[in-house]
Amino acid sequence: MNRIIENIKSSLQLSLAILASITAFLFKGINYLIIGSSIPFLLGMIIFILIIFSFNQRNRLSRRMFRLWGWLLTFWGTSRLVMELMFEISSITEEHIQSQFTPGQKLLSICVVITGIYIIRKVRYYQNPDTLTPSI
Amino acid sequence: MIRLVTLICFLQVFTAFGQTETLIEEQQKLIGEFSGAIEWEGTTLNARSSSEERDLARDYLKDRIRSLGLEPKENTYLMPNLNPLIDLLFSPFKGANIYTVLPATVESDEYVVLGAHFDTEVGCPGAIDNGTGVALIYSVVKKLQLVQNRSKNIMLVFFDQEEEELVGSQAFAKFLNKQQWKIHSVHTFDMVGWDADGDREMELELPTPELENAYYGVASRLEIPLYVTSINSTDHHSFRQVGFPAIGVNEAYGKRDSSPFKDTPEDTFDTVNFDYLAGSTLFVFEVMKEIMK
Repeated sequence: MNRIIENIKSSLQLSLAILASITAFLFKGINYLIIGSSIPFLLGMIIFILIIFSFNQRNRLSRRMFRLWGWLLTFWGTSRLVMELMFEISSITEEHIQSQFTPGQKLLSICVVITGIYIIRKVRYYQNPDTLTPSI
Repeated sequence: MIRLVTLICFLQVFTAFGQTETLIEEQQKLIGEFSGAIEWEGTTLNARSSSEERDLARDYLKDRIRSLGLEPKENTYLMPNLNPLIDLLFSPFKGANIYTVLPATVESDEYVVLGAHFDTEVGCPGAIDNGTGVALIYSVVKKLQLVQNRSKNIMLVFFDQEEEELVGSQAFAKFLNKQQWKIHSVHTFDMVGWDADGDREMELELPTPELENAYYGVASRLEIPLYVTSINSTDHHSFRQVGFPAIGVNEAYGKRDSSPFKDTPEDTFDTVNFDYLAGSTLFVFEVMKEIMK
């Protein structure tokens, strides 16, 4: 546990970006679990456990895990932005779909994409503190 | 003696005609207000699709329920998307059904559910789809209030988000199941305002044998043509899924004698056949009276 906290402290910004984003997804999963859909929670839990496990390491595997999470976030936000564009072109009339693409939701998608890119870029510096050169 | 009989017959015909006239006026007012043809309390309900529009529609329906001297209740819900993968990307469905209960006149734990969806597609006034269904069940309950002997409780429910994969009725079916109320039958009405060939025909969707007999019994007496289909694309499907006896009743959709303006901005007040709606309302009222016996 101490090692996890230490590793988080040593790369505070990156760790916060990872933890905040996974917590948000886990929260979404819990909300869905309450109303009877368990898949988002299960997926969120698996990723959460893998990320916490990765914070216990400080090696290539943990970097890969964080990078994967960064790519997933980028994919999530980009998918939503592309979908919005497609729905605008095809003028979908379903209110539920339209309600997913409010200006606030669009801003959220952009923020998630930025967070994903930030994690991908920063994760190369997340390595053994003894080495100074960034890993790829 | 002959004069007396003639007078009684004349009075009966006159009274029945007067009742239909009043019913038509009542339904014209309701559908007019509900589809934006008539202003309601300084606002116009042009469509009932967005969350704000549906909020306003709910206020209107609560007001109508209060006008019957009944207490409106809200069944709010959050429902997952149809596919768990979509759940990962989208927020859940959020809405609220409005319902009320007209109690039986004797001790009873049985409920007959009369339901109609109140939402529309984006930008559609929804006079026929489904202002007519809403008006029908409202008028039936209003008339049932005057019936002296009601052996079962009547639940009047207006479903949200039928146009979004029957989400509102699915949530309500779940709610009824959870409450463990004894449900005698569920009758849903979707589009009852079009009769181009003037034959007064109605469609029964997937009735149980008991409900089919009840409807056919009254229909033969009133000379209303009926036919049965296996169409399950509207709210009654949600109740059948959880095991309640259900039936869908509407205009002759399966025979294409149905509003061509469904889900378009042309689904307006002027296209509603109010004589057909009133006739269908009286028919359903008679069926309910039979079920209440």
